[in-house]
Amino acid sequence: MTVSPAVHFLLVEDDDDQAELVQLAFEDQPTHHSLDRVGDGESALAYLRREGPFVEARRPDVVLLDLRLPRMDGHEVLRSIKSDRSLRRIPVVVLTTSTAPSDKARAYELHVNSYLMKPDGFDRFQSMISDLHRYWSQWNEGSQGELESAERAG
Amino acid sequence: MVDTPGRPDLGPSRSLATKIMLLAVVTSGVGVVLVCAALTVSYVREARDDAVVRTTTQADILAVHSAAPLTFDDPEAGEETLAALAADPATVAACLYDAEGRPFAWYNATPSVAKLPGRSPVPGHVWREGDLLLTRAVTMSDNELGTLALVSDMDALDSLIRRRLGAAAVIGAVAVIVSVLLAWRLSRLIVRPVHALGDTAQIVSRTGDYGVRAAKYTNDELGQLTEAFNHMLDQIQARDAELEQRNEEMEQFVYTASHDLKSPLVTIQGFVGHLRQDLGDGRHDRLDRFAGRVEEAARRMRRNIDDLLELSRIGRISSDPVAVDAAELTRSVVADHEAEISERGVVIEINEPLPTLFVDPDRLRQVIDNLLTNALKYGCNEEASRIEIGGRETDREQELSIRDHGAGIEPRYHDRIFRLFERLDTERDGTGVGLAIVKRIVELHGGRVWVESASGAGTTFFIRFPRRSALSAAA
Repeated sequence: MTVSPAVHFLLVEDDDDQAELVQLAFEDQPTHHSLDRVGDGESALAYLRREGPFVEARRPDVVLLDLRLPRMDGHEVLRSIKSDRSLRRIPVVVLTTSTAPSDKARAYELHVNSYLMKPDGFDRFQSMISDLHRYWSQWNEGSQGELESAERAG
Repeated sequence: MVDTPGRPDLGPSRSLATKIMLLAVVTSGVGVVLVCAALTVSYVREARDDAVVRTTTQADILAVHSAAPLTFDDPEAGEETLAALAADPATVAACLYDAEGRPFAWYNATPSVAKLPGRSPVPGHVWREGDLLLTRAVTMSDNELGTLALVSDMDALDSLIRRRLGAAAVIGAVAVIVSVLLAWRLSRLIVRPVHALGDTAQIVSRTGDYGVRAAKYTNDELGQLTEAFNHMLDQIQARDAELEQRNEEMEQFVYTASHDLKSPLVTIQGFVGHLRQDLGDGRHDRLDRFAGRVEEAARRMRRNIDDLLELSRIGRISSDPVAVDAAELTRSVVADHEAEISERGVVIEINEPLPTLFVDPDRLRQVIDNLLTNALKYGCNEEASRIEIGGRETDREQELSIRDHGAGIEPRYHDRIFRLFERLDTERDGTGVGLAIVKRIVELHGGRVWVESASGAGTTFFIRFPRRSALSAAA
C-alpha cells in the first residue's frame, strides 16, 4: 500500500445548477478526488453496473444522491443499490433540499449511510462538501484494504 | 379489547335486564294475585250458596219431623228430632220455637255456647260472625205451628277455601318463577345486542378506532339498529380514511412545494457566494456565467410560485358551469399558440364534432391549454409534428382527447406524471405543475383524466366528464 488512490465520487443530480455548485465546491478541496455526475436515477444504476455508455466507468467510492429525480427517484435508486450484492457496500449519501420526515425515514429504512440537507448559504455549502470529503476520504482510506481483501476473497 | 361481548358488566345494561325481570315479576305477580282474589270471591260465594242450600234442606226435613212434637207439645220428641243434626258437624246449633216464639226444643253440638236468640227470629237466612242463621216456619196444613232455626258454622268451609287458595297460591308462585325464568332468557335476547352496541360505541369513543363492529344477534328491530349502527361506522371509517389521505396529500404537497421553492434558493445563494469569492480573488472569467445561473434560478422560482398560486386558486375560485363548445374553445387555444405552431411547422387537427361540455369555461381553457402546451413541448419533433384533438360522447359521458406522435411515455410513469412537480424530462423548461392542474380541474368537475401511451408510440391524453344530467342526478 503505497499511495492511497484518489477518492472517486458519483453525483446523481438532475439540477444542472446544483450539480455545478457541488462540482465547484469539490474543486476547492485540496485533496485528491474525482467526481462524475449523472442526471437521473436510471443513468446512476447504469453507471454503477457499467452498462451502456458507462462501460468504462470507475466504481465510485461514494455516491451522492439527490432524492427528487425524474423518472426513477432517489429512493428507488437507493433501494436498487442496497439490494444489489455487488453495490451495497458503496456508501450512499443522500443530498437533498427535502425536509419531509417521511423522505428521511424512508432513506434510513433503505439503509442510506448518511442523509444531508443541502444547506442554504454559500459558506455552509462549501463546508458541508469539505466535511463530507474529509470524512469519506478517511473512511475510504481506512476500509480500502479491508474492502479489497474482501473482494479478493469473494 | 378487554370486554367480551355477551358478558354483562356495566350499570346501564344490567339495569335494563333488571327492568325487564322486574316487569315480568310485576306482571305475572299481579296476574296471580288477581286470579287468587277472583278465586277467593267465587269460592266464598259458592260455599255460602252451598251452605244455604244444604242448611235449607236440613231445615225442610226437620220442619216436617218437628210438626208432630209441636202439635203434641212434646219437647223431648222435638229434641230427639233435632238430635239427628249430629250427623252434620257443620250444623252446630238448632232451636225449635213454639207458635208464640218461645224456645220449645234445643240442639247444641257444643253445649257451652248459646248461638240462638231467646225468641224466634224472622224466617230467612242471616250471615253472622262466622256462621249462618237460617230460620223457617214449621207448618202443617197451612197452620203455623212454630219456627225452626239452624246455625251452620263456617269454620269447615273456611278451611276448605283456605286449602284451595293455598293450592292456587302454589300454582301462582310456580307461574311467577316460570315467567321470571322466561323473562331472564328474553332479557338476554334484548340485552345482548344492546350491550354489544353499547360496548362498541364505548370502544369507538375511547380509542377512536372506527374499525370495530357490533355483533348482530337477531333480525328484529335491534338487529336493524345494529346494522344501521355498523353502517354508520362504515361511513365514518371511510370518511376518516379519506380525511387522512387528504391530510397526507396536503402534507406531501407542502413538502414538495417547499422543496421546489428551496432548490432555486440553494442555487442562488451558492452562486452568489462564488461570485463574491471570484470578485475577491480578482477572477472575472466566470462572473457572467454565475450571474446567469442566479438569474435563471430566480426566474424558475418565480415560475414555481406563479404555478403554485394558480394551482391553489383552482380549488377556490370557480365560476358557475355553463355550456361550452369544446371545438370553439380549442380553436381559440390553438390560436394563442399560433406563433409557435407555425414556427415549428406543427399541424393541429381538430376532428369535429367535439362535445358541448357543461363546465367552468376558464378552467376548461386552462386544461386544453396545458395539454396542448404539453403536446407541443414533449410530443412534437421534426419527424412527428402532428397533434390531433378529438371528442366522443356516450349516454353518460363526454370525452376529449389530444394525441401526439412523439416519443411517448412508458406505462410505469402514467400515474406519476399527474403528480405535483413530477417531471420526466428535465432537459426542457417546466415546473411539473401543468398536468397536476389539469387533473385537479377535471376532478373538480367530477371527471377523470388519464393517458394512453407507450414508449415510441405517441401519447394520447383523455379527459372524460360525466354528462350534465348524470352529474346533477348524482349531486
